[in-house]
Amino acid sequence: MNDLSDIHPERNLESNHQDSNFFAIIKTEYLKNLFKEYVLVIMLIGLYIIYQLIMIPYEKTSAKYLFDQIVFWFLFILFLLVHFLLLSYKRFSPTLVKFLKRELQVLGFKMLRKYKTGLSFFLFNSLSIIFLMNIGISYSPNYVVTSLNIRLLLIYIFLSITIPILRGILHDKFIIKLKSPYFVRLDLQCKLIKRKEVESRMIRIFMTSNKLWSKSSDSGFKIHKEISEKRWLPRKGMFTFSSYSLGLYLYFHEYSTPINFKDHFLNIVSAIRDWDTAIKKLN
Amino acid sequence: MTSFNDFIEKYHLDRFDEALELKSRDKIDFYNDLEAMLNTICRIFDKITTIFSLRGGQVLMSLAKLQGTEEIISKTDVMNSLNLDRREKLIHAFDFLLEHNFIEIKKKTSKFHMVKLNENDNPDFKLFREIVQKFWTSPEEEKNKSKLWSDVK
Repeated sequence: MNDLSDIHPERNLESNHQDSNFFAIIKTEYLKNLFKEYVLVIMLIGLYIIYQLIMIPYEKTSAKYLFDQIVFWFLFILFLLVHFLLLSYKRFSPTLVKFLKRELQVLGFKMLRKYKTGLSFFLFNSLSIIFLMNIGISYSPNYVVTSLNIRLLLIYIFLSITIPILRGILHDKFIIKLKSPYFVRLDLQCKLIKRKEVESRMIRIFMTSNKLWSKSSDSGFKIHKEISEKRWLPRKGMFTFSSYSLGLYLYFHEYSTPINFKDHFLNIVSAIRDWDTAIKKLN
Repeated sequence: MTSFNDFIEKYHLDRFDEALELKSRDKIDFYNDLEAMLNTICRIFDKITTIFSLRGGQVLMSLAKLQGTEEIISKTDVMNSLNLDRREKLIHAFDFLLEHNFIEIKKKTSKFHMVKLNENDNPDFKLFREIVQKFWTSPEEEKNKSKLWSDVK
């Protein structure tokens, strides 16, 4: 409760004036965090480039050196491209998160961070990398293979460190646990450039259920279709770089803006409840 | 025909021991009544979709639902029924609905205001109330159902 007591109590989305205030605050916070994220990534890039310049293991004229550099830069640019696209697409706003927390509290639910286990993931990755590095260095008799191993592992380390940190600390992914094994995942988006949309539609909240059933099951597919139609749920969720977009499993998706968040959240929860009841009957 | 219950009663649709036989004039009456009812529903759609207040339609739905179970409905009851946390969120809606004669408000005290649908000026609200009471689940009911479900291990 204490955590929520400092939430702007006067925030009222029904008033046009306060609407603008609310969206302006969120926009500023998004921009501020976007700037922080880019600085963080640029710092990491800088460090890595410095390391590359200092630790060149070959003669600069050799073909192996050139090949090594091509592989490295290709992977590196690919990584940057993915991360910059991802960072530009998703931004974080404490005010919006607090607002959603309060809305969910009214409904009796609690919002949790999706990547709360980031530290254990990071430690596990670090240990596995150290283990792999030792194998790579110790057991290869060829210096070139060892060197390449180290470079690939460095990229792996770089990815392993940045991905959990950026996604866990800075990204807008939250879950609301309902009843084991069911939960709803929230993905927040803010569009900074206003085009045709009205201001309230510039903040988007995408809701996705947990993995429900395999798509190959006819009975599951039929129940999912019936519930989706009854509850007017959209067929597809937002595109993410995760297994959610592979299309092998059934999920419920819902979409809302801050104004109608509570109603739409209850709608997806009710859909999951209907699903649970139907599946129990089926079994 | 502005009542779903009257329609059921007129043609004995809820009496399953009787066969429904409609011939000549009866069939025409049945069709006309059904069409009149659909006409009324369409007018209700028209009214609700043109309410210029964010929560105006929701307030009407909530009032229609609460009138089935409560004798006296306060603004707080409506607020709770819609899962809202502050009464200020409904100020505009109540003002608008009152101004357009959709609802009646009796001020018992400065804080306790009794609210109900204005069925005298809007006869279509009878059918609206019947449909809402029979088929609509209010956000509060939806919330309670979901909480009950998620609390059961």
